[in-house]
Amino acid sequence: MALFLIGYTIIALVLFLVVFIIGVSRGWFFKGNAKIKAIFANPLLLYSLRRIGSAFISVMLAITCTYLLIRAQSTDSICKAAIANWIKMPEDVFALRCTTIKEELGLTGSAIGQVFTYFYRILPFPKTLCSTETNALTDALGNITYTVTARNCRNFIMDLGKIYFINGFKNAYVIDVIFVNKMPHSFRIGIIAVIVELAIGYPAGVMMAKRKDGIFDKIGKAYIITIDAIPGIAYYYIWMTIFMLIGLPITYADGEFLTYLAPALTMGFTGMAGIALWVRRFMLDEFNSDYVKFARAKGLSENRIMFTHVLRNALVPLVRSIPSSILYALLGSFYIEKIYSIPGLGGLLVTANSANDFYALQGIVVVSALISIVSYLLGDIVTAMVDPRVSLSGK
Amino acid sequence: MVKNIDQVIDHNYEDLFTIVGTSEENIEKLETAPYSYWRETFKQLWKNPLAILCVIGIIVLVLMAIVGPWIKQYNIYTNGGTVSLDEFEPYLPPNADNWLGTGGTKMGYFKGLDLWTLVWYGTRLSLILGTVIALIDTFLGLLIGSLWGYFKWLDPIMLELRNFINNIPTLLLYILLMKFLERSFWTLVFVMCMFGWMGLAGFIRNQIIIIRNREYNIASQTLGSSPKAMITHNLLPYLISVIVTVVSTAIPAAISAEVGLSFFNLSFRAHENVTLGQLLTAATSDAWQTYPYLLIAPMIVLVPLTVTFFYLGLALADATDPKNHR
Repeated sequence: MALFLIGYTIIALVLFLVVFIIGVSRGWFFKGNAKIKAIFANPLLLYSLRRIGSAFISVMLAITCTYLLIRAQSTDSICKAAIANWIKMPEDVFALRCTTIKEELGLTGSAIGQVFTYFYRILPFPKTLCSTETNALTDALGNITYTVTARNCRNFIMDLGKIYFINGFKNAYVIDVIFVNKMPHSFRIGIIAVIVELAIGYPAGVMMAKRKDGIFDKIGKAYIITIDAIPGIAYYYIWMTIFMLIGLPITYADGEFLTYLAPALTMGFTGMAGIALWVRRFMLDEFNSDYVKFARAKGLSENRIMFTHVLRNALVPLVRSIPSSILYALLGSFYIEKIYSIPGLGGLLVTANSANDFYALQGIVVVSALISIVSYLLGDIVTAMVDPRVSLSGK
Repeated sequence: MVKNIDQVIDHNYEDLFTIVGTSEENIEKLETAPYSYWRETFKQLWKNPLAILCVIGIIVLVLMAIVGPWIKQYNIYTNGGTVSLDEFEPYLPPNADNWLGTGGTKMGYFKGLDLWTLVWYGTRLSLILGTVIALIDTFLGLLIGSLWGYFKWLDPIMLELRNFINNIPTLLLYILLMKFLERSFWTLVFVMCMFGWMGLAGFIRNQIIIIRNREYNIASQTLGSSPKAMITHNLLPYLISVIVTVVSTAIPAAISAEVGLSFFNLSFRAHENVTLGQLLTAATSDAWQTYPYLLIAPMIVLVPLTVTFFYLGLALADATDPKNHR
């Protein structure tokens, strides 16, 4: 009960904050206080808030649509997967058990009602949810009777449902499977890949821009075109072959750093093409701008212009994408994880699909939608930190 | 010094010029050919040796997609292409009979079939699929993108739709849609086109917003041009270079997308139609590390096919830009 109170207090606080921010920015209250007014008159803050608001709407739409699409399939199979020995069970016991399971998962009632139940469950505030389990009792004569016993209650912040179909995760909670079992694998590969693509892509872009149409530029452009043109799987396998020939281990193993290298480098070498192209294009645009001409007229050396003037400006649009690329590393890549057999999130989507696992699929949608919102927000904040033209405090 | 300058200034002008006379006929004649946009474009294109190479490459690949399977007469659709009947050694590396080898044991339906024939059948279907999808995507993208850019009230709705689609992993959408649909050529086209137009539409919208408020458009609007005339006469012709580029890069993009779908078994069923994506997927599920020719066979066509189309697209982007003409 106390948990519920805390949950509703948090929601009330958030609502109050939203009303407060809108109110101050519209001038409903604090009319006299110039300082508070100035903070909320900041266009970036308002812009970010509007963006988050619109992102929330689209996330809700996305969750609703995917829920209905997935839900359009029959749910009876969930009972059969969830109940051990369902074949031996008397029909009425099975039906009873099936209803309890469906109620527990929120699969009863109208489709729209189910969507609302789902939203209630995934709203991030503490709540207690209980599940029941069937026990088979064998008496002295060998007759089997079934009793619905063992009420397991768990406290949740966010309940994404249960996984029944994927072998190895039966009766596990989606949230445990995703966050505890899957994300570390995806994330450690993803983060190495992000580091590789920034560490190589950024200097490569600078070098290409520095000597336009030079030999390095031509090689770089050819690489970028190839990466853009040929299908992802084709060059993933090309990289895999190269790593195999070098002698890197290509089968992922938990806890062995050497085995992370092949998938991470494959991902990094792919992502680096995009970053190099961006940096190159941006630097070439900046070279024609007035401040560069002025710096040149002052007699600064080309290197000085490059590294103190142009590079700083070229950093701004790139920095915006860094938080999102780190966060998306949590989700992993479908292809890389399948190719290198990494037990990550990207692989889970495919497994969940082939196993028809309803909540695992839905859970991935929720997590990826949340990640997209948070990365929007972080991108805005980081831009404000790096770019002196945009300020959070407002003037 | 002064004397010299005087000499220069007091020049006898008649020494410098000769009168050729006039002729009534020549007044209307132009010495140079009139400017034609498309002629200039192709002139620019043929100056680029790599682009010519790409055009030749595309012609060869398309011809081979038509003729290739006939060179080796194996009809794979009636299972007549089975060459290596030896159950114990089905992995036949490239030889005089099977120029690209034969399919391995774990390649499902492709087991023991002649890879040369399969690859060219696959190229044929992949090319047709890619072209159809690229055309539909371009049409939808242009139509929706130009409306989206032109009408301001449409903007928030479409942005919301774009965010909505971007929030769901695309693969999941494909998976869900493919579950409800029968697998055939047109359902695949439908599913891939359903979200494919989004990229082009967003791009066109950005471009149109940039040029929408230029003086010539405002003048045209003031004179009472209808939205249709504005879009088709003022806005889209301005973007022709962009559009041509997008169309030619859309074909390799669609081929790549099909390869991606095949990898998760979301494409055609293998025994009905062969695509390059299915061949690649089948090869990767077999022992390609021991028998690399299984993977090389589809790659040897897939990589040049996509790269030539893509590079031609980029070359066209330069050639169609009027700033580069003359």
